[in-house]
Amino acid sequence: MKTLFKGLILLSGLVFFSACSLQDPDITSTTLSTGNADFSRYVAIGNSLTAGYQSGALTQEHQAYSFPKYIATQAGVTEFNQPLLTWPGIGTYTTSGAGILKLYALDDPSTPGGTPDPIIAPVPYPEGYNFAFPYASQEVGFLAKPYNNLGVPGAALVDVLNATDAASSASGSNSFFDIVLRNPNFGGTSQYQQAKMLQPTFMTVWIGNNDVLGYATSGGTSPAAPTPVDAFGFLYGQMLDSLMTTGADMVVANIPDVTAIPFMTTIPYAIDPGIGVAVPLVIQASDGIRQATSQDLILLTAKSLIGDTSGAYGPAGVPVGFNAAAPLPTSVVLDKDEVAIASQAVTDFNNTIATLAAARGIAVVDVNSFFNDLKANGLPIAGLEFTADFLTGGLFSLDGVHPSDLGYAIIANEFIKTINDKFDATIPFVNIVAVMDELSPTVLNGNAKFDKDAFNNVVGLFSGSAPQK
Amino acid sequence: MLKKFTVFFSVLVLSASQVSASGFSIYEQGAKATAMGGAFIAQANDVSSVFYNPAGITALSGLNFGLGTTIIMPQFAFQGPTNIDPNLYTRANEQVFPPSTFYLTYQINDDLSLGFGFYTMFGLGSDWDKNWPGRQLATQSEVQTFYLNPVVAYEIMDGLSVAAGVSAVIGKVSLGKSVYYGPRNVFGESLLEASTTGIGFNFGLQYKPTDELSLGVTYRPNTLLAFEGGDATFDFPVTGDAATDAEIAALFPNTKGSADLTLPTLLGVGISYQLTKALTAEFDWMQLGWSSYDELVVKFDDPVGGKTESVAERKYEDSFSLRLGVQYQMNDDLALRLGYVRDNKAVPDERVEPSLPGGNRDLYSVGFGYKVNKSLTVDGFYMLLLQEDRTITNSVDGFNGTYTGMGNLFGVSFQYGL
Repeated sequence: MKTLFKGLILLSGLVFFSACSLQDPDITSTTLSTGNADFSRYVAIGNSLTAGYQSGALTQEHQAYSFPKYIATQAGVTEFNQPLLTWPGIGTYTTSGAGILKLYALDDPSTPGGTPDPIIAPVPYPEGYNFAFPYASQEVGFLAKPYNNLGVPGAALVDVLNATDAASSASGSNSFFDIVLRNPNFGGTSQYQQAKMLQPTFMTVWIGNNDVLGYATSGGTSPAAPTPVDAFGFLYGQMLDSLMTTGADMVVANIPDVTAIPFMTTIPYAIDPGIGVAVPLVIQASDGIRQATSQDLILLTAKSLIGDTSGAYGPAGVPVGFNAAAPLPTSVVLDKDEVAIASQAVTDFNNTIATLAAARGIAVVDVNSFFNDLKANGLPIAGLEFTADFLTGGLFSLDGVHPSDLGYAIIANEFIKTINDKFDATIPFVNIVAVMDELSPTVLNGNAKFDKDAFNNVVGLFSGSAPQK
Repeated sequence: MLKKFTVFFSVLVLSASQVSASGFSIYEQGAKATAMGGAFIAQANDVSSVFYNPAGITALSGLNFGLGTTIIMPQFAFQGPTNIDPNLYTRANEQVFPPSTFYLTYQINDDLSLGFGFYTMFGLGSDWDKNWPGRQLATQSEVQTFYLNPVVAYEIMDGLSVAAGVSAVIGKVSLGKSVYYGPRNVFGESLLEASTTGIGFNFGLQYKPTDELSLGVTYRPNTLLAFEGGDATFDFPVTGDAATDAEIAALFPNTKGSADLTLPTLLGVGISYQLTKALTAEFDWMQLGWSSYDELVVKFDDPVGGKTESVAERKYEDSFSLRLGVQYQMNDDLALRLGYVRDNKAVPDERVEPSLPGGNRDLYSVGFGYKVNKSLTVDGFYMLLLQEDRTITNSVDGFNGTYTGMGNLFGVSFQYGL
């Protein structure tokens, strides 16, 4: 009996031990601190990448996922106005009567088997689309102050200080300046001047991409050369000095390699014309008509031309790209010499940006290195590997140039990293998995029950009708 | 003749979750042994010897039954991932695993004994919320292996016994996680469920050169579990977009999958010594040969994400543990026991996944044995598992962060001799 008693004491000891439990840490999520940065009035200056342009157009459905919008949300900015545009948006295909690109099929059902053949086409405008007032609402279009997101698709470096409308833009006809800057209502002011009107306390500046991108995406034809590096340096320094007069803190981002985007890398230089063997395409290169090599880049815009026999791009009946009589036009090919010119421009611009920013104590978001690393090694995030591949890589939208909703989130995080480092801040990163979840339609029990908003959004995204909230 | 546009299409890979590792191995197969940290290969002097070292059953006279159960209550958490929020803290849902044992031994004559064991040598699992950041790596994972293990033991000469056994191994796995269909931004859930039967062997040797000293060796060659005809099921939301729904249906069909999983070789040696009349100590060294586990290949009957085979690299390392146990015999009826185990990780840092948040562990045990009467003995233990915090900085899955874990284990065994 005595020993049994001892056993009971032991058992009660065991119960005591069962209280052992895993200790939770004091901090279970990052709390926002903007550190030495002041985000009370945040303004973003830039081009399409800042505007939130993707899949060939600017639309409110995706402007909601612009990288400055992400930063504003993460930094606790209460007011961040954007020039939100009605579906299907304004962009590359507006003049041909359509807005944003849509993936109609991952693989053309009429050509089953073989290499998947996606069908991507812009969504036609619905009847009555108001091109004169494409804003999402009266409130947006008639906002009595400049937008916080002053990213203008197509803006070149020179435009930041100089362009006030389509006519004064570098291209001479970029109507996004009219949409974003809304002159003459704002007194004929530029991006820089409108930023100043907002008395910004913090700015992100990502500009200069178009000083080489247009050259690359036009196959070295329009314009015929990137902005000369001397001019780029002069303009960039002038822009930084002007922006610094606002007194705002800022970070600038450099320029990712324009020759490594899906627009350049998706179509192989050799294609099977139906004989079971891939043969190098015949191209109009800067050194004459010749067969392409792995060093030449065939642009995404060559898609509809390769094999065309209509006579629109060469003699009728001769498939384009397979015969010296009908080479792929130079506008859809970035040949190896042009690749070298574009790459050199990117390198020169980035060196310039690094030097000028450092001289002014401005931190640089090294998007170029980030993208090169992603291109080389992929970027796994919580089990999902992002790559620079078209359609399946997750980073790029359907135009092969601009990031996707998730791509912009990843870029926002690169900005946040730099801001946190520079300003001793702890702005939480965008939770990529949460965004993935947000983008995904919600269904309970595997069928039938929908989250109505999510459902409407998705139907809107894929059918071309405006989402209903 | 010519496709207008050919795009290189990188296939969506469904990487299968890892299905096992040393953290899934359960060495708590008897309350007496576990109270001494599982340092029992040399002593091997109750019915659980069928598991720990079957050579030991030659010393058990007559017919003996053993029934036991262990309650394993692990707690895991993860802080990260660093590329989402370095501080974000997620606790796995707490689970209770009750691996149970049944043993039988029968001494045919002075030299020859037969035994039988039923136990769960590999098991456990993990359960994370469906919407947690690591959902694409693991949500619900469970592995179970039931062993039906007859053994025969033979005493070659006084003090030297050998044994051999064969096991029918029933294996069950269930692995759940989320799959993201990137081109359309749709999250779905995937579930792999499979069961199979394999054959395993175990061998034991026990040598007692003196009354005080005992030496033991136990060896289990690796066991192949060929999972065939398992169910791979996908649950995606109906998006309402016909093209999207058709693509998802085509890319993620509910199909059958197969995979070969080799349970690792186990080699253990032990030495025990009776220090005083009442005090016995044992020290064991044990190794699980995971290094042969280089990759996991899952084959699908129908292509999933365009592929009929998914290869996941594993690159595990052999893991070993050191076990120390002591027993103090208070009187004829009551024994008190203590144990300590150092258990080393099998999964290299870059491959750690939340399905099995393993790491180096220290385990402390305490227990008792009480002889209720001539026939019945009851043993009990409590074991505290403390896992070293493990900070990953080179995850191949982009899932860096810190894993923490601990566990409470309780167990009781009854042995009845006729």
